[in-house]
Amino acid sequence: MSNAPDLPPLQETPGKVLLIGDIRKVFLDADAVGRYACEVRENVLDAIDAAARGAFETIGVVMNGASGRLPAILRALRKGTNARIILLAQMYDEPIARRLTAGEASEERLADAYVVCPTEVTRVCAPNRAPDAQTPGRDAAAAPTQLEKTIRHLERLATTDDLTGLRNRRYVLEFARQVLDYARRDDGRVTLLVFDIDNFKHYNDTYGHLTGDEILKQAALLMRRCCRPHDVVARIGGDEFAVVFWEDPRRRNDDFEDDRRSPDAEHPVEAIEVATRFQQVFGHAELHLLGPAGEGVLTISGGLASFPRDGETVEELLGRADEALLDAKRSGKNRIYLVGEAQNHRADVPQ
Amino acid sequence: MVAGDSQLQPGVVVVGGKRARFVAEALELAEEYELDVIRCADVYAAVAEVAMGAGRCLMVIGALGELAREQGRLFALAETGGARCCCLLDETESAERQQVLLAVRGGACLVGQVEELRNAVDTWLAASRCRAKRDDDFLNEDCRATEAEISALLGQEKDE
Repeated sequence: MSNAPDLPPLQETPGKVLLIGDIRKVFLDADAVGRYACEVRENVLDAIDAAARGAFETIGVVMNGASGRLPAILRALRKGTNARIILLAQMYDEPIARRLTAGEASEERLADAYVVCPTEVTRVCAPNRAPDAQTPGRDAAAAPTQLEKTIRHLERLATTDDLTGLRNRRYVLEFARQVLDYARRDDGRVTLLVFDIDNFKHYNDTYGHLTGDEILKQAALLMRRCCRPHDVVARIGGDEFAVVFWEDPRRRNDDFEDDRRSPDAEHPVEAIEVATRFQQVFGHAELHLLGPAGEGVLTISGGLASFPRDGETVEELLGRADEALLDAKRSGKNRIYLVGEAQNHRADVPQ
Repeated sequence: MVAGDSQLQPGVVVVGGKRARFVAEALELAEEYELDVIRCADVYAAVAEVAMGAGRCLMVIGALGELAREQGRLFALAETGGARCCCLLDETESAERQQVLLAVRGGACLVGQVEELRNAVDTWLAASRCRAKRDDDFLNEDCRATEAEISALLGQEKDE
């Protein structure tokens, strides 16, 4: 005879939420979770068990750290429960979260929505009191309220550069902080490129601010095209831009047609390649506002700093990349410098 | 069926891909013993199955490396749910000491070779409160025989 104990069913509470993973990584107010009808399970198997035995209305899954096992975890949750599954995504997880919730083409729709973190507990545990998670393809009945739309609009304004449509300084610094945490944990590499447009003030003063704006927009567009989808390009000041190149181990096996660089390449070589390609493309960009004399005159200078070689924190990397950028300017512009040991090594950028 | 209780119908949760030799063996055994079969790709799906079948006689069969993932929580969860785990030690890789300890402490049985699976299943069925359908059929036959005998006996008594 088996000694299997009679299992008491978990209490069924309407609106109950199950949170899976280390919630301190995603909630600004993780300590407040006790105020809601929430259960937290750090171990994913405990969570899948609880999800299958309990009646949860919503399940929040912390993506950070789940990496390649995430689809398997989500499939198991789908198997055991009908709860709404919300992914709690770090900024760098957002492209994957979007895919998992979109269920496009042949891909399964493994989650129902995602929230980009850090966020507040209310966003998941008390959605009636907070703006809803981002749900691609949600139906009209679940259309966001005017308040939700307004809040999302404000969120976009707070993280986007109005002129170029790129991310802004606030976003890229937070993104870099999160991706550095990830790199520290998974032995990853992150490279920060800071660049600006040579003689930008001259163009602004000579051709006017409209032309200056056009140059900035063109630079943003071209840089975005030169980067992989998961690299983050931001405008961090007047004519100053930053790019976070990072290694995502989960994407190594993915087959991205538009991936223009080898994912196995070493930092900062791939970053240099992107910067070099951008420099070439930008130099040949047609800027009608500059007139016939404008073609081929635009150049950039940049500085590259890599984690862990050149710094451990965002501030350190930004500082080192800025120093390298200044060195590049002092050395005659139109070049990208790496942070070196005794002296900077110039990247192999064709003149 | 003895109790007519589907909850007691035992089943095996086979965790692994089609190519694994133990999977074919486990499926054959299940067919022979007329056990329900639940196929799972990984330990995550297996946990969901065990949780949904809590209280039911289940044996989870899979490679130690897979079943011991996530700090071997499956073993404890299975034990709580009345299921038994049977871990196959991969012949090509040396098992990690920690994984073996987790399995043993979690009450799982360890099998070194695929051929030993039958013994493990026999032992589990013998020790569990539920029976394989095949055994139930035997038991039903026994019952029917007894009823026939009693009827005959009663009939004879009536005749007399």
